[in-house]
Amino acid sequence: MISIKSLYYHYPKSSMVLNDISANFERGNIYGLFGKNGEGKSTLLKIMSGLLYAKSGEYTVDHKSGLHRNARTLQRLFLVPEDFELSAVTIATYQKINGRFYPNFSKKQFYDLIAEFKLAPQHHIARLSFGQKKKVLIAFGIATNTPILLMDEPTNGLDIPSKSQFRKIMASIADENKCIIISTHQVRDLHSLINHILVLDEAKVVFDASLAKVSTEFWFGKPKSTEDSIIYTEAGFGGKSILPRGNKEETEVDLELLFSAVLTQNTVINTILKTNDHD
Amino acid sequence: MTKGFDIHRVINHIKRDVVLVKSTIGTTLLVSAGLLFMLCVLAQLWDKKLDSDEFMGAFSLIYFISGSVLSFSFFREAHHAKANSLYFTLPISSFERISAVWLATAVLHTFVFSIMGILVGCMSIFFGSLFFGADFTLSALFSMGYWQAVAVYLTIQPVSLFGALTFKSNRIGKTLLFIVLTVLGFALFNIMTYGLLNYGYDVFDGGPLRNQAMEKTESDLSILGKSLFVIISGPILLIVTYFKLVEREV
Repeated sequence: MISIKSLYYHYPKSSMVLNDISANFERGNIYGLFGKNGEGKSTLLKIMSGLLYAKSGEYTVDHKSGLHRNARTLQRLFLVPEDFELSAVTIATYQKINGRFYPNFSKKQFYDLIAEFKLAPQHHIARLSFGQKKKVLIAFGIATNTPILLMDEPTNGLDIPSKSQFRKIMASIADENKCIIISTHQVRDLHSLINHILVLDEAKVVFDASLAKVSTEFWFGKPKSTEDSIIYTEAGFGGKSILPRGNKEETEVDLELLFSAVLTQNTVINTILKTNDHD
Repeated sequence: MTKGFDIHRVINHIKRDVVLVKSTIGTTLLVSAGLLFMLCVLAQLWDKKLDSDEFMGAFSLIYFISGSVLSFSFFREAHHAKANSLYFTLPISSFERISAVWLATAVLHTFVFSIMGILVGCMSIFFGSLFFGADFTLSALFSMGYWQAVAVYLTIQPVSLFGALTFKSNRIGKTLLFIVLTVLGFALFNIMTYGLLNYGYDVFDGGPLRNQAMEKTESDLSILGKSLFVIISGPILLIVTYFKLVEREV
């Protein structure tokens, strides 16, 4: 669905933010785009939504170039930016003036989600908190029914109950026709939601694997024997470690631990994934 | 299949912009109507009638200024640091977007302002005849001067669009500065060209020969000069604005 090949980007008078990025994003998946602050997650989403133009490389959506803003690509995706401001109108007016640009926009779905978020169509957006505005935008983005949904730090600004509500809603809208890419540095917020992980570090993709693959290849937990070949361990996680799974029972993937491990041991982790790919 | 140019998207964008800047439109129209009414009434105070030159003078001035104010308000979202990402990810091509903004600020504004101008003109004539016995001359509102005013507005309006998209802050001031510098540049170019072409004919001595040469130059080149001005300030600036919109990164 989305193909990125050898993408390069840097801001004026700055070093490379995206350096030879290649990745594929397919329908039916929820991707977690992880990385430390300033590692190019937002930049990549901006390039994918036509807000920034890559210096070189290829970016296609359904085999057609999406490198420059065009109505065709923009009708296929919706971006929920990290920081944004909505027009100072009522929620109903916002839906009316913007919804008509999206061919599959569902008014019913939008108002159902608005109600679920405890908001009402007559609420004036200018008088809402940032978290509430984010809920309006998330509801709008979902109701556009675009096959691609890009979300940049969607849980920033949401309170704890709203984060769980967000996960529930996202899980309910995910289907085999949708490709959802969620960028965040708050890995824990996306627990149980994503099924594929992509990690950016030092302007490069250092990890790109499905959660199923991670679960098959790695074991997460407190090793009983000191002879186990620990890939990564962190005292802060109660001694939890990552090990090659071998013949051990399958464990739940600890995203936070995996993320930390990828940042320090990405060569070891990728070697294990690649080796077993060939088996 | 997504069409290359879709008139529905253009119409949707016009509707969207009109809703978002409706308070600016309302205020501009109200202020314009008030000013036009006052100027028309004042014009009737002296000679007890409103002639077409007086009406068109006031109409043109307010029509140009209000059009420029509206043009600047239409690209406000493109400069808003937090709103522009949603603005630029709306599924509409840059060509459709510039078409929508131009249609709204040039064509729609002309249509609405003309209707408002005629209504305000009628009201002022009625007011004048009622309160100080001015002639009831509605014909003053309809003259060829109207079409000249529309032609001039459509020619200079892209300058406002260019300024509105190009400059991020102090947009009106910087656009005025741009106009002043362009006019000065033109004037300098004309003087230099005139001097270079006529240097050997002693045309700088201030004598009758100079006046004759100036008149001849003016009659020979005025159409060319006007056409050049119209092309530069109109379509070319509109095309430049379009490319600025295409290249804009957020």
